[in-house]
Amino acid sequence: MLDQASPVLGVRGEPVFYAAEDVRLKAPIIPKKFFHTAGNFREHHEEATKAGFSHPVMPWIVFFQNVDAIIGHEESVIYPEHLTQELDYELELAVVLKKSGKHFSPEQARSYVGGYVIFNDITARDIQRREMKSGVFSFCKGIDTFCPLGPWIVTADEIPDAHNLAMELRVKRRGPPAVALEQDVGEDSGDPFPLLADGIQCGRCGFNRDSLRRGCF
Amino acid sequence: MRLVSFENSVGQGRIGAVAPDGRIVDLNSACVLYLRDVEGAEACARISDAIVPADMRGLFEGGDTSLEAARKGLTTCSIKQARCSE
Repeated sequence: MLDQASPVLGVRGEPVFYAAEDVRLKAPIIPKKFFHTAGNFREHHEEATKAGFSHPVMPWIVFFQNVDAIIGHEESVIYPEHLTQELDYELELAVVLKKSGKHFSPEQARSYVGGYVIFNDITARDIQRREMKSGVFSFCKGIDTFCPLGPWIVTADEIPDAHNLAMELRVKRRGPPAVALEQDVGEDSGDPFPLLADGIQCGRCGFNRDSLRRGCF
Repeated sequence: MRLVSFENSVGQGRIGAVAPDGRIVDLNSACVLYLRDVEGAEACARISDAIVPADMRGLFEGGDTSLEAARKGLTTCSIKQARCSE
């Protein structure tokens, strides 16, 4: 709906400004590939070591998130009770790339970052425990609606220090009261730039050369 | 910029930026205005569709060229809006 207070119209007479309540926000981006890493926050890594997994969760191992599981801000996460009884949430930070490349240094990696976006890393812990017997992360995080993303991407020019951020996750449950999780990306967090350079380079991980295309995570 | 994907009132998928007052600025339309009014481009709509498409992945695929064009569109429309409010 056209914001009635706005006299600015596009060349086809279309509205340019919209009141926030007149639009429906979607996931800010559906990437072509979503490289997901584990152990990004050292405290998460320490928690994981206590979870009784059969295999160790090494920091910064890389796996693919199912992009079809992505949903937008305030869309509902569906709890598939026929599959899991142990749903967990975890606030994470993603990097959106703005150019293709491979075999670059940690210092060069910063020039590939176009923006940052938060997402909720929903995990079915009971499924994860079973999958971990084979040393994999897959279905436990990739079920429909398990990846709420956004509400927005903040461009990199507005975030001079990605290690000094506050993030907030709100959980609205049917029944029990809402839960809020605040988390700082501080000194205890993993550095995404060496990860970008060292963990996702085609040669080391065996991905084909288009694995770092623009618009991917 | 705070970049969003949104669905407008007629169900079109668009991308936008959050203005300081909280409103959403349609970046493709804003870039068309920038190209027409500041750059004097005759094919402003076609150029905007190419460099600031209505799809977020397309915007990032355009790299700095596209992000800068989006920023200029946002600035142009914010200035227009401020002048209209005076």
